[in-house]
Amino acid sequence: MTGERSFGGLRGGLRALPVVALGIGLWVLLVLPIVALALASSPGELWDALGHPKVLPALGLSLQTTASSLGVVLVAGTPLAWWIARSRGPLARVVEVTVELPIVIPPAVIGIALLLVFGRHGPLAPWIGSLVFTRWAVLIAQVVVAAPFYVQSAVAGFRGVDDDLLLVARTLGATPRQAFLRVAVPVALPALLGGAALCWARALGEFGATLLFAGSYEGKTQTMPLAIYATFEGDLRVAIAVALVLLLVALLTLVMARAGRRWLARSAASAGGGRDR
Amino acid sequence: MSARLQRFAADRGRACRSRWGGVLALVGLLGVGGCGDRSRIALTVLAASSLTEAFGALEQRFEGEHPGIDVVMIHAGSQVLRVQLEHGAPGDVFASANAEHMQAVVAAGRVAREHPFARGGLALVVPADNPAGIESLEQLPRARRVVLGVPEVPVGRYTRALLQRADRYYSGLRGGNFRAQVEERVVSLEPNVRLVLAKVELGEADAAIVYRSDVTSARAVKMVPIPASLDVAAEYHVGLLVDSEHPHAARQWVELLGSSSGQAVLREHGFDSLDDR
Repeated sequence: MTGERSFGGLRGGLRALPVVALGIGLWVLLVLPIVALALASSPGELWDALGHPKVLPALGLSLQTTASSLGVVLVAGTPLAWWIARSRGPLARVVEVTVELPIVIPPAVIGIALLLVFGRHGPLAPWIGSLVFTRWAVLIAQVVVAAPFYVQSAVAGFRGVDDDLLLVARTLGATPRQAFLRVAVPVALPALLGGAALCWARALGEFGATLLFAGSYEGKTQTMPLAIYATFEGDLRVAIAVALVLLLVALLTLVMARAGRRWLARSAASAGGGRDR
Repeated sequence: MSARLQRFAADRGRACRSRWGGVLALVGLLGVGGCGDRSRIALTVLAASSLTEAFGALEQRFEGEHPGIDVVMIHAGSQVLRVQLEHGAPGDVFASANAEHMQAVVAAGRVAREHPFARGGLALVVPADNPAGIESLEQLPRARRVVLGVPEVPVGRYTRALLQRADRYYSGLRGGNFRAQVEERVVSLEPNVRLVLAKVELGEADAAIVYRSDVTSARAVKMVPIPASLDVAAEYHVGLLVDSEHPHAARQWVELLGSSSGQAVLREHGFDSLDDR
């Protein structure tokens, strides 16, 4: 009896060992570099890194630009995802596939492509001039590489919204906008937040497209990943410390995002429970 | 019932194992498939980016003379190669664009003896249409966007020496602040000279400073002459890696660099041979 419950008992467990070992091996591979990074530095060096002339400008720039990119992606990407999720025509399918393209295109290739579009000899140059070497370039590069992650997740989330829920909301007198905001968004919220976190993380780590398209200049276009690359060529220890600073900032934000999601889910559940009564 | 369940579970287990086995075999095959040609020895040369074309020509000549050797070129900014070598990157020969990075690799114990093999000069380049109308080094502040190499890359270091000399000369002659004016207009610091050149070719930078050897007919840039008295002499150094697996082949490569035919190839590509000064 106990044998069945534990799926074959000890023999079943042993048979699963190679597969489990592969999984653990992968986890170790993911975690080991982070541990190595932490062990290669010290709190003193970490503190010194914050005082390095490249670091605070780069950190400020990274946080500002990624916040703006995330804002742009949320504002423009949410309606797009909604339309993709609810449309049935072939156009929506084409858009859905093309939105995901930047994920599979190498960032360096995206950088070159952006140079062609927004550069001095690009189609928009007569009106807006060249955007290369500007903060706009940093923003655009981040949006292009990170938006697909949000849109993908949001589409999946919106697809999970039951049509009946929206119908009921409409029959109860809600406008389409109210139905969207107060029924669809809360239901899809975990997917939206997960996609937003992934999008932000991808924007924070953006390197190749930014280097080629925006260039690298302290205070103006040198984001944290570019600063790490620049200090790497001078002093490896400083580069390690700067990398750790970025790692900690990213970890902190993602932990807060997860906690926020759980709080939202819990308050949504309790609110729903209240209304049932 | 339990016997049937156990037989069912065993059958599923076998199916799963054969599926896993197939996947692992496929992965193994893909790994082995990339083994390559074992009949030739691979001579790995780590060389500065600015040596790309010259070493490419020398590679063809060398492989013609030594059919059993396949030369593998790794090009990057000398500072990047130096860091890699300091951290144990394997190779046979190291060619640096300045003495400093070579000396660091010697200090790290990777190279025992090294010597200069070529010299070069700098060049002020502008896009083919010269949008800022720069006709001399003194007019460099006319550029709105200047791109230079990072301080650690040899071309960046030589550039700063050049700007220092030019500042003393021009500011002394006509007052004003040549160097400060130029630095105000710098919009990006690139990690190797080829990225600097690319920005000028694309028309994104109005002016940049690269090596004279980088300005070939294949490049869509215009060279503006630098007064000989201000020019900085770049010195290229080559050294054998002490732990090279092919010391004999490595020595033959270094001999080619110093031979009259090798020096002729370098001269063809815009470098100065050692006996030119």
